[in-house]
Order: sequence, then structure tokens, then C-alpha cells
Amino acid sequence: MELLPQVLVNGLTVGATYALFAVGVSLIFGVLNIINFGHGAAYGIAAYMAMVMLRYTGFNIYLAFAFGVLSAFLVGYLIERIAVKPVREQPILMALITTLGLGMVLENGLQFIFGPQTQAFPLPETHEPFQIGDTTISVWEISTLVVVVVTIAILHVMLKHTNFGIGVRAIAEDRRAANLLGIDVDRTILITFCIASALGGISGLLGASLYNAIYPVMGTVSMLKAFAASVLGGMEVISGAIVGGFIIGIAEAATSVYISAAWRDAIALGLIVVVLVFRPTGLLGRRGLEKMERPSLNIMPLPPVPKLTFNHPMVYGFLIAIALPLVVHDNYYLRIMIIMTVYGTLALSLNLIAGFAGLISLGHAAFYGVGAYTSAILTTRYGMPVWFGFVSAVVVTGIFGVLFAWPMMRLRGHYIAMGTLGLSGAIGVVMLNWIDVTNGPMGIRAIPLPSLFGIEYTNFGFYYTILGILIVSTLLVITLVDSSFGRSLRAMRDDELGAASVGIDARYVKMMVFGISAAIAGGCGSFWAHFVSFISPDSFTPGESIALLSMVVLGGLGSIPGAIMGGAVLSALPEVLRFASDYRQAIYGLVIMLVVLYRPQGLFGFNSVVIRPLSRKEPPKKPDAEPQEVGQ
Amino acid sequence: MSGALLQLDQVSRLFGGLVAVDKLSFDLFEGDILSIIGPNGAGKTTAFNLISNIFPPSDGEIRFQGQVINGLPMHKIADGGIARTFQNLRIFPNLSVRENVLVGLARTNKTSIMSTILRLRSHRHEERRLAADADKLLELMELADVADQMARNLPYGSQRRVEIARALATDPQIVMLDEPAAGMNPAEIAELMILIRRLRDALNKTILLVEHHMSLVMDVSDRIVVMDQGKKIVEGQPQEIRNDPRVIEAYLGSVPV
Repeated sequence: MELLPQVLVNGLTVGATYALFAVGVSLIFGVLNIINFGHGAAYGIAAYMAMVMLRYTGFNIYLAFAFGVLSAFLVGYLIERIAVKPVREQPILMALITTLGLGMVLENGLQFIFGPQTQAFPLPETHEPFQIGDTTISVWEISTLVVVVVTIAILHVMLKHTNFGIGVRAIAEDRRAANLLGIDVDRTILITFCIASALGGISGLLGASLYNAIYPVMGTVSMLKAFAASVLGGMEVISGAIVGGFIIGIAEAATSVYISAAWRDAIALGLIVVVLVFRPTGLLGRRGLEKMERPSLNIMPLPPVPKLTFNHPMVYGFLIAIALPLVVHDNYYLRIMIIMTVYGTLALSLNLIAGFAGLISLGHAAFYGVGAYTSAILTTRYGMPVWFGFVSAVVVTGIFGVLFAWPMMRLRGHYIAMGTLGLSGAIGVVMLNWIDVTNGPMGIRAIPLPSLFGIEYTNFGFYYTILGILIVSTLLVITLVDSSFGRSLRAMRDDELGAASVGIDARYVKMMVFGISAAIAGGCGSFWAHFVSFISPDSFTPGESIALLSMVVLGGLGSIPGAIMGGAVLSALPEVLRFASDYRQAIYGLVIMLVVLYRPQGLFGFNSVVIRPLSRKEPPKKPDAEPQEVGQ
Repeated sequence: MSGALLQLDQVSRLFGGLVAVDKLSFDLFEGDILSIIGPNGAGKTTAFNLISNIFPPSDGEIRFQGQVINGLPMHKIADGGIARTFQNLRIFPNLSVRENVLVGLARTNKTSIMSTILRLRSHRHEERRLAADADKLLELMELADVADQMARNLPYGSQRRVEIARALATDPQIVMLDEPAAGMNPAEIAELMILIRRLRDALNKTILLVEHHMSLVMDVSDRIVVMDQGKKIVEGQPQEIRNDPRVIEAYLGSVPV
């Protein structure tokens, strides 16, 4: 093939940027056993800072790039101090959410300052690309390879031969022992974060030069590739991240050339899933599985399960919700109420997985999407009645949820988050590119309105329908979590090994909970499709999944009324704060970060608990300080 | 072969180059209380983990009622009738004490998830039966008055009893107790001793015990297996073990008999 050398050149250079980015991910994972979901911010911020320097100051490219790397270094500092240090000793979910939140805020900041559009990266003139046979290679491609090789070599020397490097490796082995040996753990972790971010910054600068384009969310897009590279190589193995980065780069280049550029982005996402299913330790990983075996990562004190009673506050909540349309006639407000109820139901369903099963799913939008598409396709293309579309959506999405869970069976903690993110992202790419079925990016239009006794639905009808769905789902969830199945579910969340020791089949429990949760989300998706009568893949992105998880966290993991309220409040926020609609992501990011840092049980969650690792004993209760009234 | 309920036949387990359990064989007969003792690192807990298949043996066979069970998933082993407790407690901290026991009872639940979703009568009936069974066990383990507390709020000794109650809830034939007396005071140990006997005599359980408290072991055991560095060095009745020079040597003469 004449194209092969060109594929290799393109693949290696892009792969080199992924590799460098992934090294940062692996470095942090190795040291702290957390995944920094805010890692993408360093990538984008470095590129934008360099852009500013190049465009508005007389700096030459070296100074501008140095400034970019420095900014990334500072981003690492910020993330570690604000989002990681306070939750370092807590369940991994905490750091996952705080870093994700801060990353969203930082990225949205870029969008706020520089606008969402793609801009050219103002590079100086260079030598014409070199031509070797049919293959072209640009100056930027050559410099990328050189920079990456040199940077990795420096990092290698640093980790192997300096005191800092020895400290890093000691902490990775055993943080407490390292501390006892006099290593300044706090400082070493901080510097590791800064260096990892700086690597991300270099990667961002190289990426920007290669594509000659920058846009605010470029970091998140590349972060997914870096995650894939890291998983592929074996999370904590730095050499693995490098190999993984190059493999993904070449695989993407090959896909663009031989198959279609549209499927390029599915490669990394698909690889995450394949690797996690067949070799969770990655290509070069050794201890990956053992680390996964670490018990109780998800545990935090959770609220007791509500019992079905007639005087539960939720009952009053529902009664008010039923009565509201008597007062609110305005279509605009009704519409907001409908949106709030949809998201309340979605958050409730995600809470089954995230709160009661303790599996941090970043893929819930996929279920919502599959439900919406199932119903839309059946009613528009095959002329089925709307009720049939709805029922099919619930059933199909339920089955889909069970299948979705199958590859996640062996995974825990962070890996579940990565796996669900990867799989749902891949499904998004399928929605975008399987044009024969989904109509691709154009979406599906003119989805029929439901009708009752021959009268088409108005907003009143929609409101009461979705409220009905919410109430039925709430009853279902309450019944379920207080049943034999629900106890097994919660037992598995608390201690999977302990649950297995009394005969609970975690596979069955996980697949069922994904199925039931997906079925509810699928129903919501179907409702949404008929309500807005237009759907496109844009509505079911990983960003949507993250928003849904934010709602559950805001309301309170494992709290049924909390999740509903969280969904309702957070979905109404952008509507109420009209002026702030551009900052939707930033608001979500800020909210989840602040909630986890200051009120980890959620706004509406369990009140009387303080989060602390379970290994620590509860402090002895102070004796009741009754005023001793002497002489009485 | 013999009528042993549980048989370990030349079972070994390697961790890298380290032989944690080395060709261990012993028989556990129905109605027996068998203890495994030995110095730290002798491989006692590893033997437990092999039986409940937290990891499979590198070599050898484990037979339960004549069937080879090594390699079966952990939950199948529990389902088959071998229950256990853990050295480091593995109760469910965010579940109430009653719920902890109910989780153990879940395998006796006869209704399907569909009947739960539809709230059928069979679901409600079964829930009531499970609750009644749980109450019996809570009564037996003297946990009835804390039944509705979150397990995480209980003192350590009570949490141990919750774990034993949970294991009993699976209605096992064999109960494996991994250092049940750890962290208990003498009074609690005396109660534990009575409890272990009662499990065997009143509930017809067969007991496999790993324990460091020699007085407890000597008092309750029918037979004792002594391990050192992964190997079985002696097996016999408490009196024989007490006076065996090999045992004393393994403990460097520090057996607190």
C-alpha cells in the first residue's frame, strides 16, 4: 500500500501527543490511585495561553510554549490543592467528581473568555513539509516526535535517579510507609500533579500545532484518548501509557484512511471497552487487578432506605406536583416543569446504579438515547402508535442495559466509570454514523405527538404523563431497594467479597440493576422524543451523562427524594438563570465539586453523617454536656 | 473414599515464588469442630480463602460432599452450604443489622424479581417469611435489641456477632470462623465458646475454626490441625497437640497453654 507510510507518520505523531498526555494520567493513578478527570483542562489551557502570547505579544514560539507549559503546571497545582487534597483519603468517587467538576469549570472558563468557536493556532512560518516519495512530513510532526521522546527521557531519568523520583515511587508503593520514612508525601503528590499537568500542557501545545486549531473542549476530547491509552497500556504503568498512546494514534490514522474519518473517534472509546473486558490489567499492567480488588472503595455512610408510608414527605411533594397545573397555566412554566420531571426521573433511575449499587456510571445518557431512538424510529419509520413506541422503548432499553452491563462485570470503582464512559461514547458515535437507521447528525424529525381519545397531547397531558412515570418509577425503586434484590444490591455496594461469601451473585445483581435502571431511562427517552418531536445524537453525549451524575450527587447518593430533587433543580437552573445558559457546564461543574467538598451527602441527602473513611473508628461520643447546676 | 464432609487433598497455593499453602490435606467430618492453628504466616487464612475460593488452589483438590469444588465461583460455594466469616470484618456497614442477616437469607428467597417489581402477593408473603427467619437468628445471636441500627454504628464485638449471624442465615452445613475471638475480652470469649458449641449441638453445624486464643481452641475443638510455613505439621486431639514437641517448636516454645 502506498498509503501505509503516511498512515504511520500521522499515527505516530498524533499517538505521541496521546502518549505524553496518557503518561500524566498514569503517573497520577500510580501515585494516588485516582484518575484525574480534570486532566483535560491542562491541555486546553496550555494551548490557549500560548495562543494569546503568540497573537498579542511579540514573544517567539519558544517563550510562548514555555508560558503554555507553565500555565499547565499551575493548573495541576490548582487541581491538586482544590479538588484532590481535601478528598485524598476518601472514597475514590469523591476525587473523581471533584476533579471532573473543576475541569469543567476551567474548560468553561476558556469558552467564556475565547468563545466556543474553533480558532487557528497562530504558528510562525516554517519550512515547507518534507516530501519522501508519496509521504509528506511537516516540521511540526518532526518536532512533535522529538519533543515527546526528549520529554519522556527526562521524566524517566527524573523518576529513576532523583530523590523526587524515589519519593514518587515509594508513595506509589505505600503512602503511609513513605510518610514514616520521612518523605514529604504532601509536597511530592503536589509536584507529581504539577508535572503530570505540565506533560498534558506540552501535549496540548503539540496537538494544537499539529492540527493548527484550538477549541475550548479540545482537552476533554484528547483526555478520552489518553484514558484509552492508559487503560490499554495498564493504568499505572508509564511505559504502558506510551505504548497505548502510539497504538491508538496509529489505529486512528488507519481508520481515517482505510475506513472513514467519521469512525475515527470510536476507536479509542471502543478500545477502552475491549481492553477492560478482556484484559483489565492492560497490555503491560501487572497489578491492575489486585488494585481493583481493594475493597470498600465506594463506601460512604448512606441514608436508610425510606419505607412506603402515607405520611412520607415525598407524598406531599407529589401531591403538590399534581396540583401545580391548577395554578400554573403558562405554557413556558409548564414546559420547565416537564423538563424538571424528566430529569428527576432520570436521576432517580441513575441513583439505582450509582447510589444503591455503588457503581459510578458515566454512561446513563446512552440509555436515555436508546429509548428515544427506539420510540422515534418505530413511530416515524414504521408508523407504530406512540404507546407502542413507549412500551418498546422501555423493553428494548431494559435489555440493552443488561447487555451494556455485561462488559462491566469484572470492573469496579474507577474502571466502571471509564468503561461506562467509553461504551456510551462509542454508542454516541454509532448514533452519529449509522445514518441508515438513526439519520446521523441530522437527527429524526417530526416524531408524532401522542394522543388520548383522538385528542393530541398538550403540555398538560405531557406534564401528567411524565409525572405519572415519575411516581410509578419512585414506587418501583422504593419497592426494589427494600426487597431481597435491593438488599443484595446494597450489600454488594458495601462489600462485594462479603456479599459473595453469603451466596450473592454479583453478576446477576449488576446486570439486573443496569437493566431496570436503563428501562426507566428508556421510558424517559421515549417521552422526550415525543415531547420535543425532534432528537439528534447531540442530546445523548457523555456531557449529558455527567450532568445526570451531577444531579444524583447534588441530591444525595442513595437518597430517593434527593435524586429526584437534584434532577429537578439542576435541570431548571439553566432555564431560570437564562443569562447563564452559556455556563451550563461550569455551573454543573462548580455545583458537584462544592457539594462533594462541603456536603458530600448531597443537598437533600442524609443529614447527620460526616464522611470519613470507614477504617477509622468513630470518635467517642462526648458525654451529654448537661449544665451542672450546683446547689440545686 | 471416606465419609468426610469436606476434604482437602494435597492442596497448594503459590503467590509468585512464595508457597503459602504446601500440600495441605485434612478431612472435616460432619458434626466436628476442627481448628487450624499455627504461628503467623502459617497459611491458615490462606487455607480458608482457598476453600471459599477467593482464589483457586495452584494444585490439589478440595472436595465437599465428594464433589470437587475448587474453581467454583465464590457465591456458588456459599450457595452449596459453606459459610464463613472474615478475619477483618466484612459486614455491610450501611445496612441495618436485620438487613445484614436478611442478605444472608436472600439465597432462600423463592420469588423472582418480576414479582417484586409487580409487588405480587408472593413477594409480600416471602418478605414476611424472611423477616420472621431473620428475627429468629437475631434472637439467637442476642442482636434483637439492635436489629434496626446501622451495622456501622455497632461496637466491634457486636459486629462480629452480626457477621456470624449473617453466615448462619445462609443455612450452611459448614461454618468457617476466621479468628472470631480477635479483639474480644475474656468475658466475650467465654460467650463465644458457648456459642460455638451451641452451633454444633443445637444447630447441627460442622465448624472449621482458625484461632489464636489457645484456651478457646483447646476447649472447643474435637481435633486440631497445626500448620507451619504452609505445611500441616501435626493433626490430632487437643491433648495430643498440647504435648507435641513439634508444635511447641513451631511456636518457639511460647504456646500459652
